[in-house]
Amino acid sequence: MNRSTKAAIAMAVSAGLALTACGGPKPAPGSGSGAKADAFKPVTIGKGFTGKGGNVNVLMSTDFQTLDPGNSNYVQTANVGQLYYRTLTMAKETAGQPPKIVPDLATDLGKVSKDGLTWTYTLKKGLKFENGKPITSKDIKYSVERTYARDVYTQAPQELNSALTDDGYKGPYSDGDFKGIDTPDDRTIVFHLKQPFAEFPALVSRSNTAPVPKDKDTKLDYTNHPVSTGPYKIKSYQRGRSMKLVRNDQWDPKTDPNRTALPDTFTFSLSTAQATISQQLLADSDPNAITLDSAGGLQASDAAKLNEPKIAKRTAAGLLGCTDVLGFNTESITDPDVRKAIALAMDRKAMQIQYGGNRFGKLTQSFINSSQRGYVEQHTDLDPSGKPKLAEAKKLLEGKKVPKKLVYGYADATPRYKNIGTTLQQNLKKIGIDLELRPIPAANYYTVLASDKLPDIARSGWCGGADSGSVRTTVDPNLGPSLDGKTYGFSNSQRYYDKKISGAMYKLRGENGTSEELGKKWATLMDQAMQSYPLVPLVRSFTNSVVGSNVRNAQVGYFFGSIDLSIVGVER
Amino acid sequence: MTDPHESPSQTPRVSPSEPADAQVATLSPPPAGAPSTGTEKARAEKAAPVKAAEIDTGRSLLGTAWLRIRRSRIAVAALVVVCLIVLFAVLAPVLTAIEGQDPFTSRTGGDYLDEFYTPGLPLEYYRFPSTEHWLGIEPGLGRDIFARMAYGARISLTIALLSTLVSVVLGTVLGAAAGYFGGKVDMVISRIMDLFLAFPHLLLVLSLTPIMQSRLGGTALDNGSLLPIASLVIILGFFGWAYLARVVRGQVLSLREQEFVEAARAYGASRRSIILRQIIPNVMGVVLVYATMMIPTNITAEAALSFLGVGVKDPTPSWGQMLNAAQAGNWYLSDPWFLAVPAGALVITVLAFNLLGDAVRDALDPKSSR
Amino acid sequence: MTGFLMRRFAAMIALLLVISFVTFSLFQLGPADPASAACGQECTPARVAEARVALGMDKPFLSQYVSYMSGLLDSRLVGAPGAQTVCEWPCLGKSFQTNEDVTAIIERALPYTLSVASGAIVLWTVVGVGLGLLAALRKDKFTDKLIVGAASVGVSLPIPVTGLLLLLVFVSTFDVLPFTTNEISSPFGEAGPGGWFLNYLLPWVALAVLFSAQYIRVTRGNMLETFGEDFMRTARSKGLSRPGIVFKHGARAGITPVVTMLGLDIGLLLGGAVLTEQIFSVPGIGFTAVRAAQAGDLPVTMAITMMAAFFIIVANVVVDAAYAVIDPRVRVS
Repeated sequence: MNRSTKAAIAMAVSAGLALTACGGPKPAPGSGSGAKADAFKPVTIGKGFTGKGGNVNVLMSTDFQTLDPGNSNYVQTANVGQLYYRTLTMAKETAGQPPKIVPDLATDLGKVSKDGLTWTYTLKKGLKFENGKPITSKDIKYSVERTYARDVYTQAPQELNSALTDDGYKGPYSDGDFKGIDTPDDRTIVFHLKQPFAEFPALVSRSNTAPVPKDKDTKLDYTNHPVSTGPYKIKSYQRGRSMKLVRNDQWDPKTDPNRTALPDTFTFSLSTAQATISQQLLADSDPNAITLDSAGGLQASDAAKLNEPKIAKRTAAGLLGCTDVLGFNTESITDPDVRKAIALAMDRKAMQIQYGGNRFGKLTQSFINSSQRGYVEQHTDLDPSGKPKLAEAKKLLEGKKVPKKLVYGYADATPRYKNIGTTLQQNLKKIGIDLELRPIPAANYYTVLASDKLPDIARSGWCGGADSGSVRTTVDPNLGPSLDGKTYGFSNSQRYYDKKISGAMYKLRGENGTSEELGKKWATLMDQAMQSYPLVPLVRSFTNSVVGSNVRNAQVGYFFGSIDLSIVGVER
Repeated sequence: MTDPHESPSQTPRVSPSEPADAQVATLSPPPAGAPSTGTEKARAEKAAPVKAAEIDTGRSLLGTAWLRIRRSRIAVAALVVVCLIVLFAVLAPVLTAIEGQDPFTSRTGGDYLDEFYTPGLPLEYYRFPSTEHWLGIEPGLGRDIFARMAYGARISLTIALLSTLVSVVLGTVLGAAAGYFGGKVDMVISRIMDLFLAFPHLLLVLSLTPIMQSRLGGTALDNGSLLPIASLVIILGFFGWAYLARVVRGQVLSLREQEFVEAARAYGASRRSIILRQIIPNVMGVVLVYATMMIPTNITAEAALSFLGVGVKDPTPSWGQMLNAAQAGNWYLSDPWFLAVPAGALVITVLAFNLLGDAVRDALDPKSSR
Repeated sequence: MTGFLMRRFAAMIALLLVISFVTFSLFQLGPADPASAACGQECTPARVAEARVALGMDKPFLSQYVSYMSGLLDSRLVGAPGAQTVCEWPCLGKSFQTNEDVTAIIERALPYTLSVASGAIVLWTVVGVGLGLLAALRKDKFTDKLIVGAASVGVSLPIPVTGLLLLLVFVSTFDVLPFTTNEISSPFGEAGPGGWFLNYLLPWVALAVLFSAQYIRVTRGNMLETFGEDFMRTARSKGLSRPGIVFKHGARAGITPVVTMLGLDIGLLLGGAVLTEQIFSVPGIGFTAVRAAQAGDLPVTMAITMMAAFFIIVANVVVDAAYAVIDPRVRVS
């Protein structure tokens, strides 16, 4: 998941101005504790359940932005997509762990040429669209071609596309045939890359490779009825109201070990008020209900209720791959010691409270985590419990040229981000720095960070990038150099550029090797870069999702941030 | 006052393209709410006969009104409350200094806020009034609620009073000009009024406020910038003038034909002196009534806009902003006190201004029973 | 009368055109850029330019406006050249966010707004006119003072305050009413009239508290005025019974301005009860408008603004016409 996914979720959630109005006794403050040692352990409800049949009722506060796999950067769409589309490979979720890449339409994870520049996949036999037509490699090629038409599909996923040799290809509607992909026969598909990319199998798990039949491509209207290749198909879809999925009899379970497809049907209740969702789930008023809303549709003030035993036993939980950080504009705060002093002066614990405390996020010391391939230990002087180290901070600033006033920019739709600024404002006052809080229209937040209006300090979030199990797809976009290696990269909103470290990153991009080997090198460079404090890690998302009492196999996806629909089932 | 709660500016309750002279007929003997009506209209009708009374008695309009107001207990009480509220707002820095707090310092450690059970909820001691924090502290950021309420009063009242001033000046000048000069001037001004009255104000303001704020500068007051307040004043003021202008125009139109004005003209009084000595004083009554009615409307309008997140924004306090904060994250459910403070302040203030407005209207209305 | 309506109709069209143009222009000045919002993430300038094409924002302002407005006359094509889709008449454009027909979005939202509006209007009219009449009949007695006092308080209760208090008391603390759900949008659905009633009761009350108070004042004031008029005195002197006078003569003349006020309020409310819908999460017109404004969704904002203006203007025309019919003292020119 990349920034747009995150941004998109943030927008969807904040735009609701949602209210929760669930009753319940008032907690005695101070009693109970959410901060046990294993507080962040993943919890799956009804693990190992295999009973078929029944209906799962999915409650959502907003409609899907789109159901078109070629125009989606949204996690909710990716989650529901598991039910009606399949991709060459698949990112299989395990709670608390990065998804594992497994073959889906393809027979294996692909064969790579020696130079790392060509990847070849073979399709399984017996794959069909919902109308009975066989799925060929040409269908997949066409689907990828579509996602190059960015002037039609503004949300087209681009991770795969930017790895392929595209020569400025503009999509099938204006440019015709794409040279970056060959289809020697109906079951073989060959991808040509610009540079070796060890995580390529993860790139073809993105929805670009979900087959879209050319004769059914209604362009932007495709979202109203995408053609199914998965275990379910769309029976009815009333935008903004409801959707019903029923079994797709053309799906052959023998070709698909990844999806258990237990329930007979899924119904989606779209744009139910967020308040109603949390109220219904907490009260178990529909035993078959789950939600795809972020943070399980819960608000900080609901945290106390999660400790009630009746609710606790229906609460699936898991850490996500999403981490929020405060980035410094290293072009305006150039002295690493000043950055470090500011970092040490921060009360990160108080900032975590703004996220809702331990039920919503875990304090983190790094952008990357130990469950990712190739992780090496990261070092920082930040207090692990998030308390400020004022004395050390003041000492660092002695005799330094300290800026009198800094600007913190935040996305204006989310009160939490402003509150983080308010907290920071207090913290910095103690080391003699004034902080101005500057709202940025939420919709354009990241565009502003990439422009010359980048504030001195800004929050940003990252959910693992193209391959959430890989260190590289976090480090490179956030701290890496530009395409030509001469300056900072486009989404590197710290504007971090160090001749030695950034140069090494640039070289590492072209290197051939396994994701694990290369990951270690990336992680080491990340650790080195972090010694000059270009950013301060804050909180890694932790999601609690309450489900109805009949729901089984409910796990919180590391990537989806909500209940994984591919394995969920209901007791009847 | 119309329904400021649903539309932050004065509600358009007027036929947008009413023929220019229909107004004259509807204003004289009040057949109770001709084509344009609504509460405002209803009040306007009661206020309309003011001129006659004033001319007959020869006593100053405002003097009579003041006497009447002093005779009503409710009016006096409302006036006292209004004065107290204004005083409270003016003295906000003094009061918070006595309390020893300020509206911006946040207290986020475990000493103040729950960190485990409901993270962010103030500990019980801080959730309710105490000698240290007169009205407790906020959930989430732990700022002093009394200080925010007091400074919020300044901002809410400043916005309401200034925007009312803008509306009254614009409405009186344009309305009087349209009524007095007639002809093309009247046509142009009337068409503009129609446009303003037919616009769905709240929707427009929702999209206009962010534009104004981004053009004028930030939304926070803590660094001394008054621009966010200015943008609200301009927007509320700009959308409030049209109705008053309409009424003033009607008044002037009928005044112009009155005998005493004709007489003045016959005596060779200059246009300037007619406007200044005859027209303006006679319109003052209706303008005064409207101005008092507009203040509470604008207070609620500010609250509504800030509540929706487009008006005054945190960290700047205003009563609407405080309501917004109480609703965000559902804090008002676990900490109802946090909702009660701004809600109470708002209701008491609006009520006091409304009662005062009623008293002013009744005082200027010769038919009033009191 | 026909001439009057014709003139009003022409003026209405002109006014709507001006309003649509003003809204469209204002939008262009806004701080949010829908194109860079559309691509979010690594929004390189090239990507923003592509999104601009996708949203049709690459064309000059005037041609965008003309092409938007042409959708009101006939179906039109929307989207990037080469990949356009048809937007059926009456086309109000397609949402920048979901590419859904704006007409469909409005059709979906309208029943919710109608639900909120209809119940609230009935409630406040009955309560407001009823109490207003009662107060007028009992002038200066205790009942009158009580009602007038209550009206003064009611008129001073902002919707956010009433709404949040109602939620706090009836939903959260005592749990006697459900939180509004979007599954119920009419009394004829699965939930039946009872479910519909309970679902919308709180929003109705929140609106009615405020509006009843205004109706009480106007009704009372007008009734008292009418009682004092000549024809009432005549009627009384003719020895007609008191209730007879009140209902035969007084009510008709006294209620007329209330009817006028009601017509205008209906027109206003059909454009969306923004605050009420927001507080109770009712996905009606007002709720949709706020979301669209936040997300920079121009086609949706445009459509709702024009629709709301349309209702306001129509309500004014209807009220003027009705007024002339009801009250013979007024003649339309």
